[in-house]
Amino acid sequence: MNFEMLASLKLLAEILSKSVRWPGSKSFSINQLMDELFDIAYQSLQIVTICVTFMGIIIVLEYSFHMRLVLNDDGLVPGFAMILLVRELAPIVTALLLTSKNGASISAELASMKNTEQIDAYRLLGVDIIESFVAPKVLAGTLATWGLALLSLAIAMLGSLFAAVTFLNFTVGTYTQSMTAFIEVSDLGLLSIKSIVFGITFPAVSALKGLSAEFGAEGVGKAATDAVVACSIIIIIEDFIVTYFYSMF
Amino acid sequence: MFKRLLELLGNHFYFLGDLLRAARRYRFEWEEFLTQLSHVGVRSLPTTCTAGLFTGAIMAVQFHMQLKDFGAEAVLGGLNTSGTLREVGPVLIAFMLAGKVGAYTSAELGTMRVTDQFTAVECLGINPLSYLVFPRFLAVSISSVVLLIFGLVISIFGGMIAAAFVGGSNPQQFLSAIPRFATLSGVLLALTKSVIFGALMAQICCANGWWTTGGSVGVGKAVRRTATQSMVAIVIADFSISWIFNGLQRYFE
Repeated sequence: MNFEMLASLKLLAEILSKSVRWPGSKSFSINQLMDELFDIAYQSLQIVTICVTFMGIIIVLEYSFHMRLVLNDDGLVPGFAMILLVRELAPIVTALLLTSKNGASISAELASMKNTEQIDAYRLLGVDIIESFVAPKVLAGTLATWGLALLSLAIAMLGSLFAAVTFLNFTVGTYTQSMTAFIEVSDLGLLSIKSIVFGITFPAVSALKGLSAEFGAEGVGKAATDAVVACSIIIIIEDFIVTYFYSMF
Repeated sequence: MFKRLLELLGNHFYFLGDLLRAARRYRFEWEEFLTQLSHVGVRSLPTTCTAGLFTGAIMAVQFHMQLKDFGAEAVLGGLNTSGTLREVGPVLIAFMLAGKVGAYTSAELGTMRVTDQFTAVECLGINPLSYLVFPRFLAVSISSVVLLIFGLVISIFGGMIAAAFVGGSNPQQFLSAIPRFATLSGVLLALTKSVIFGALMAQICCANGWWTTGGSVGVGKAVRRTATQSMVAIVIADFSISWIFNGLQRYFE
């Protein structure tokens, strides 16, 4: 047990270090990065945007309920709701969606490559599996999470503006005034830190689960579901750690 | 795009109709049901508890940052519990369950489909929908509801621990502020959301597993479709339930 854990930690460290060095190495190819970005980012654009926008609308509605309970006034709702959206929900919802959509497929792909002995064949040819198959996915996953979190945030802001004007008697002016009074540039920094951390996590952990899959078709399925569960739990724990350190400053 | 969406919805309703008709006509498989309950329910308990604990903790740290500026740390417990119960808790825990329970069940049913096990069962004169699918449907929906409620209760403890950590409020203060905010309507909203999310997940994972075609690649596709559809369904259902509840609340006030 302990030995296996150490071995997978070593594999994870190898994946991370090779992914960081990949843009400078000789196996870097911009076409491969674009292919991975198409798979991860473009294919998930619709679903991520829809989910984050709906989250933004719900947060505005729920916050107005709470604010009326505490302060008997919901004038501060846009500011509070947008802070929660920027700091918390946009990165974590994007990361969890990308995890279940792409983490499972990364892990299943590598596990079935291992099962059909393609990985051994590549190793025999002297191809570095991690550098040529895993590193592009990690880099693309990081860029995709960051970009999608920012893009979906922008659309979610418009969506919740629409909801607040329609359901809650705000005007566009009062809404933007209250929103800009609270959001600072450092909040976007927190969003970037979070989405980059989550974006590194989900491809790396899924690839780790895929590469250490057991044999047989059952092993592939197990690797895929294990990857989603492990990534989601790790992402939530990382979220807590990052938020906790941010709250200390 | 719109036509495809309507087709998908129609297929889901047809599947649900077939499933319920088969379940009413043939006897209920208690053994299979209990096995599935232990498979999808009990084994997901640690995952759900971790997710709930950290969801509560994250929300407590966030709320503390916002309340600190107003000197309103005394209401942290109530606001955090109410916010997590009503909104963020059900959605995040349901996302986690869709990744675990939904993917597991649709992968299992999909593998049965592509290895022709449904056809084999049918040849033996047994209805596969009532024998294999319906017990899973019921097990997934019941265990999702129970797991969601478990996760939500644990999120209160997570929030309490985190609040003590960041210095927002001590546990007594935290707990005593809860009843002012987490009222009956909040708990009812959380329960409604849990029940509806559980039913949605069960329907989506069973239907996509049943419709699987095309070998082991098809199983992967079915799992991916399950994840996508359940997440969109959960978010849209969440919005609709919150909206309807808000309307009802205003009406009764």
